[in-house]
Formats: sequence, structure tokens, C-alpha cells
Amino acid sequence: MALTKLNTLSLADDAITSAKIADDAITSALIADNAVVTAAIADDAVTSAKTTVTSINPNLIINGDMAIAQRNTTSVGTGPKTCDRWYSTWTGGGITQSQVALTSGGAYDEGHRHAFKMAVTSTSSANSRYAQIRYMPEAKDIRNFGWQYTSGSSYITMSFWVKSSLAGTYFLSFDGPDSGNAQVYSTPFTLSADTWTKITKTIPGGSNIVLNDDTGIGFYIDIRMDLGTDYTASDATINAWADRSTSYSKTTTDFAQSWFNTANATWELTGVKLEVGQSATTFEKPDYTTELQKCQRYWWTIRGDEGQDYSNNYGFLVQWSSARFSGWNPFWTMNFPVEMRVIPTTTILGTWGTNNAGSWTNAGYKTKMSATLGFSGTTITGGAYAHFNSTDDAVTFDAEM
Amino acid sequence: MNITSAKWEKVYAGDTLLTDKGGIVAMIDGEQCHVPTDPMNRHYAEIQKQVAAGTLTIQDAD
Repeated sequence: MALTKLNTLSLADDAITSAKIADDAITSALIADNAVVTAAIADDAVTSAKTTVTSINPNLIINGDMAIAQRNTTSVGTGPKTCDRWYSTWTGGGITQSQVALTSGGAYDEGHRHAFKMAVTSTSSANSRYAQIRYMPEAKDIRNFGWQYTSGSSYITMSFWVKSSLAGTYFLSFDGPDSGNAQVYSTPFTLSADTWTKITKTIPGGSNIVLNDDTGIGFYIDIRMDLGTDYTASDATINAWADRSTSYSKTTTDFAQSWFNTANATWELTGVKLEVGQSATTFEKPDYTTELQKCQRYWWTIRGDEGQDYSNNYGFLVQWSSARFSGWNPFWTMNFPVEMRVIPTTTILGTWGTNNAGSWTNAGYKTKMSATLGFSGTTITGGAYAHFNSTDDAVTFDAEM
Repeated sequence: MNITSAKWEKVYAGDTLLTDKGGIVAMIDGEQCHVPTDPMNRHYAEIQKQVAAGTLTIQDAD
């Protein structure tokens, strides 16, 4: 009887050797799920050349997911007023900046729960108008994190999620002030209206870039929503490093749309990562405490609204007997949670509850690690005190860029 | 950064005056700030810039 069908029982053990299997005869489609178990793989059968391992690069950006807002969650001011380390910079019209919660969209799906938002409250069509979100890394940090910044074949990659209410082409710019002629690199990106979009931009080094090994500004990193024609030119150099030797102007091409001249226009940003290399790797969510301490290098506060019961004088108190100090002005040293970038500016906010306290003073006796708070004009002979007694009372320390 | 006034602050050790220019108390963006004389401090740098431009004068300490 002729053999018409071959089943596994017809095959002797070891009858089919690997030499009898044609190259590429066994494709992945012919292998059942879970058919290859660990025990069936010989020792050393899988080499590193046959595997793909994706590493995650460190992120130079602090608070890139906008989760930390020590100062406030909304402000009409310019500068770093809401999300730590992030500046709202604009002139003309009016803009509100805020930290907002995310509940949906591409950025949310990637794991981000907060964004930095700018919203137009008063439009501007002036040629001198500008509206930007700015981040400034310290020069030593970007100088020393592995980028061969004077080499055109060494790269950094910046990635971020962004949503604008107005479709159009916008710009990301790097501006390095340490160079003799400041070096500027501007690169465009395009957005659809009201759509979260992940932008990835890879930037080479430039032969004229200088980065000092200090705590000053390494780059002004600007995400530009709008620039008036005082700052743009149709023939401006983009996607290449160029000198900013004579003027801040003309570092991007003209904007076809005007975000700042659009009533109620909005812009949201989150998930910002700056890393060495030519591709964007995963945004690794930072540990909150570690990230807060990174932010506190630039700004921190003791605030009344975090006291357990401000109406009963809890939260923060200094108290003394002037007899003990023989009439000298009383001072107290406050140690900072981390070393600050520079000796900070100290601000005493709110009304406080006081008794014979004189006037706050904070001159001298400050370092990057501690400050001495005190009072002047304390001539009384009895006891005295000053304490938080309302939610707006605070002591702040500012060492921002 | 809107700076509307600036005045030097004295520094004492006990009742001994160490310097009458130990820091600057300034109104910045509507808040009274105590600014150190650190050239890397952004508030001090801005005060110096405005003084050089002739748009701000630092008053003597009381």
C-alpha cells in the first residue's frame, strides 16, 4: 500500500535532523504559541546579537511632566509663577499661565497627568509681541551630560507633547548665551488644532557653541507660540546653528498665524525630555520626592496654607525674649533642603501675627545652604514673636535662572 | 521683572556694623524681596543692569 499520509508516529526518533530542514522552512507562523519553552533552548543559543534591548536615556529637563507647582497653580504674571522651572514669557496683550490636570488625549495615554498651559486673555497684534514657554538648564548640566556640543555629528534630542487651539507652524529654539556670538538654532513644527501631538526634534552640535562649567544659563530653550515681525524674517536661518551677534531678531521665519492675536487661544505642554542621542527614548516618570528636591535647588517655600491649623497660630513661629538678647536684634538660621543654585533672594509674604517684632531683615549671612532671618528695630524689653496666621503667609527662597 | 524701588541693607554682628551694603531690599513684582549681592542671582543681576542703564537707583540704608 502506498504511503499517502505521514504522521509523527511514522517517524523514528531523531529521523529528522536539522540538516534535512531547508533554510527558512520553519517560519514563526508555523510555531504554535508557547511551543518554544525555555528548556528547549540550548545554553548560549540566544546571543546578544539576536536580541533588541532599548535603554532609556536620562532626562536633563526638571519637572518635564509639570507635576510640581510649588508657587501657584495659576498666575497672570510672566516668569516662573506656576509649574516649577518653567517660564511664561510674553509682552503685549495678556496671558494667564497655569498648571492643569489632564484627563484624556495622547499625552494622558502616555502617562502624563499635568500640563503647563498658557491662555490668551487679551490679544496683541503688535510687531513687538512675543509669547513663549521657556526653560533654562544650567550651563554645567548641559555641558557635562555627554553631548559633544561642538561636533556636528553629535546630537541631542528634545521631545514633548503639545496641544494648541490654533493650527499652524511654530518653533522650538535653542539660544546659547555663553558663546561670544550667541548661537541660535530654530526648528519648526506643525500642529493641528486642539490635538495632542508628540514633537521630536534632533539637534546637532555646533562648532561655535560655548558652554561654561558654571551655574549660569546654558541655553534659553524656547517653545515659541508667536513672534511679531520684529523678531522674524522670511530668510532667517532655521534648522542650523547661526550667530545672534547683532540682534535678538530674525531667528525664525515669519509666523503664518498669530496665536497671540487670537482671542482665547490656548497652548498646553507636557512630557518634555532632553537627552543625548538621535532618537527620543521613553519618558521615565520621575520619583516625586527626587524631582521636588531638584526643583528646590531653584525655589522653595515654607507656607501658611500647609500649616495644620493656621488660625491657631501653627505652621511657623519665631519667638524670643529681648532681655536674653540684651537689646540685640534677634536672628534665626534656616537650613535649605538642598544646595541652591545661587545665594537666593528671600521674600517674606503675608501679614503674619506679630508682637513687638520690629521689621524683617535678611541682609548678609546667607549662603547656598542657609539663610539668617531676623528683625531690626527691636528695642522692647519684653517678649516678642512673629508667626503665620493666615494662608497667604510664607517665606520663599528664589535662586531661579 | 518689574523693580520699583531698591535700598541697601546694613549687616550687623551684635551691635557692630559690618557693612552698610550687605544686601538690597527691593520691591519686585509687587513683593518686598531681600536680594543678596551675588552676581549670579537673577534679581541682583537685573538691579545692576537697571542701575547701569540709569533707570534705577539704590537708596542708602537707613
